[in-house]
Amino acid sequence: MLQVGAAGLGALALAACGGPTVSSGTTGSGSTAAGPGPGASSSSGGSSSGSGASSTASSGSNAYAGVTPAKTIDFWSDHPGGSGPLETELVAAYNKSQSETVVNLVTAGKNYADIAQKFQTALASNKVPALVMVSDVWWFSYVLNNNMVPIEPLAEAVGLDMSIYNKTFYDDYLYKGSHWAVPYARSTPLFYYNKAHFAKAGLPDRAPKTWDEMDEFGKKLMAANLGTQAAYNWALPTNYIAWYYQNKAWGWGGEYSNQWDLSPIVGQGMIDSLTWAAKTMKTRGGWAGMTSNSQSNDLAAEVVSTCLDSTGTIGSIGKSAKPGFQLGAGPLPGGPKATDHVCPTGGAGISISQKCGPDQQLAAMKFLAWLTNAENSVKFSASTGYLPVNTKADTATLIAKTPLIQVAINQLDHLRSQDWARVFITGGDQIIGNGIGEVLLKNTDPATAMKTVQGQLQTAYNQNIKPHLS
Amino acid sequence: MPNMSTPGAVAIRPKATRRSAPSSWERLRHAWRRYHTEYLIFLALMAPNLILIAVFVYRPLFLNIYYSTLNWSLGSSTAIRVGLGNYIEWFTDPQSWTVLEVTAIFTVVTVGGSMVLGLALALVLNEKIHFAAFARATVFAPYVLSGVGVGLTWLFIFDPAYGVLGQIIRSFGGTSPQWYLSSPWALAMVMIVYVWKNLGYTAVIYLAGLQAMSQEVLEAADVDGASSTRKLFSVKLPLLSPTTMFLVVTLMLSSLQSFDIIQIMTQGGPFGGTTTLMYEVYHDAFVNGRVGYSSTAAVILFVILFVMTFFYMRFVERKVTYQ
Repeated sequence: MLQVGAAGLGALALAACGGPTVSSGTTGSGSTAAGPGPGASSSSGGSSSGSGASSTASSGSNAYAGVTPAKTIDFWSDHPGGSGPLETELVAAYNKSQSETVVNLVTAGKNYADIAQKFQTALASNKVPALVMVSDVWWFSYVLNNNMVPIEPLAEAVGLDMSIYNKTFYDDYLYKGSHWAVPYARSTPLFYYNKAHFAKAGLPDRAPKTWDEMDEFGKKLMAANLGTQAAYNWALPTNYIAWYYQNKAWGWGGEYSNQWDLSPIVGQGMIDSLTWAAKTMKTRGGWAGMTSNSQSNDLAAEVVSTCLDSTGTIGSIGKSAKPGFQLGAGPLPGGPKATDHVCPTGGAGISISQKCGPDQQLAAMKFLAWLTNAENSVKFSASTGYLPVNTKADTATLIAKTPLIQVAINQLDHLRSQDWARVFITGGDQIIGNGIGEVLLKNTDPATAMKTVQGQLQTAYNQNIKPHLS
Repeated sequence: MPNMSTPGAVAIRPKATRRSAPSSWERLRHAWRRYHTEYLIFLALMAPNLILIAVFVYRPLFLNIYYSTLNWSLGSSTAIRVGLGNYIEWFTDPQSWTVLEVTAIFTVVTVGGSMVLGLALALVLNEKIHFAAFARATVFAPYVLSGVGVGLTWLFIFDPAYGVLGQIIRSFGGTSPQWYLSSPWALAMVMIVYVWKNLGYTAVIYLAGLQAMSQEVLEAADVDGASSTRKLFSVKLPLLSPTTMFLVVTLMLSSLQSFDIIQIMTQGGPFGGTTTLMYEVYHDAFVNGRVGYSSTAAVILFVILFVMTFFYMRFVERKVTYQ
């Protein structure tokens, strides 16, 4: 009886379940072809994708004209770069500066992955925040599933000129003629080094210009007996190694993908770069190791002399290092095939939820405009090391406060948006990272490793992306 | 003796006759009424529980089975029906067998390790030792700690570059294993931490079993001249079999569902070396965004748990010796 009762109630519950709208069909298979995708078309201003935006006021120039901003909105952040105290301060200042909307700052995780999981869970319950931090590898997935609203109509409604934002960073969020996030905690990788170690090894006080030069630097650093475990530490496969590796891939003339075409990942450029990378490992007589935790922590602890990490760690390396530690930073080295535009963009922006309603969307955009204004952009960058996203920001003040950020600012004109395979295929970062890790740690043949990666990316594309592209 | 000729006595007799011999139909009707009333009371008392179980146990179970037949991206409002496609993909993916292998090793080692070491600790704690209460509380403490806290603490202990363990190994002239970069070492690491965390639980349960053990049986063994080893294997362990049975089932279910320590320490890596079936469920849903495929792994995990529990209850429990 109990079983029958429970089963009956379960069936009723199942019948009452919301869940997704289901259609019959196949999941798609076979190779991909270049089709619609991010940045595929130029911005036409004010036009949304028009796909299922039931809670959006509407696309068009006066979309939010009659809307009154909500009295309360939530802002989900993971406080990147240790920005918790500053964000609290900024939100409090905004709430004090006007009486229209109260912004609630919510700590929704300790990193981008945490916040992504919480947001996606919230989507299922329809209780979403108005503003959510979106990392480079997550925003596209949200847009593809109609979870976000386009920025242009909202910007127009609050009178915000979007040309104030760094174009490369802003255009990272371009899809189907609309932008879907405002740049906020944007970063690039930098080459960090221990100045004292460089001096002891007789090296110049600068980053190597190419990875070939780093070969020489690495050998000298190892020969100098500095008490380190390696001259350089690679990032963990599970911790953004695929982001840092974009630099090598491009430097050797390779790519993870050309839009949705995944064949470049098994191309000669990738294979050559990985062959070189494998030789750098100490296990093969080279000068590099792999961190067990964080390569910048290893640098601060003087376990290694150099590493690549985000500009967002400028502050944290200095804080966790011993007193007297001299941190040096430089642009990313080039490769044998390319030395310019070999630095990927990265970090996070802020998106506005589609499900929260036009009043919250409008209030969110007003806050976002204030949060990323020139003054606050400088404050945020000075506190964290993230790059100023507002071109009106007073970088002189910023550089005076954080001199090393000059290197990152100089690098702004040499950035390149990441390959789609990493940032737009769900799980792409981990798939590519594991493939690179296989080569570095398990001595797997680069061509074999990348062939496996290509297959996994193809499956992920077929399952998560292809059915949603129109 | 009552006066049978009185009117009262005459009036009573027929009633008594009717009560003592009701018709079959009346008996049935009475029984049904009584059963019906009791059943309604039963339903009134049980309904809240039944509804809660249905909503929070059966509903997710059935929904999960339903979702396992879909190709559904996390966050998407649409999905495509794929029938058994996810199951075919799971069973034909070589990675799935690696996941099962890791799950099996993890479960066997953590359940076995926790029980053997827990029993050893319980045997020590069962002796008359100083500060027994403090020792028992200390042994039990890790079990009540949060898995996240435990994972974070051990994360630093195991770090080969600046962890305590690495320093101890180096002080003896050794080299720390690459706990985070090698799949076998990473699996060993999370198993050590998991056993450490559960040791207190098994020790306390075994200790309760030892203290409830009949002293007469142990004394009889002493009188017969049984050695300590003989007493352990021939008397104590058989008498502890109900406890062992309980621990095997609870620890097995717990191990198969372990997540927090793996997530904090290794995120299932390196190269899937610590990806158990439970972790795969999470990873497929929240990292790869494949809710349907993740539900498939969850259904497979459910079936494994169900079959193992059924098998154990059906066949192994027969071997249990109850006092």
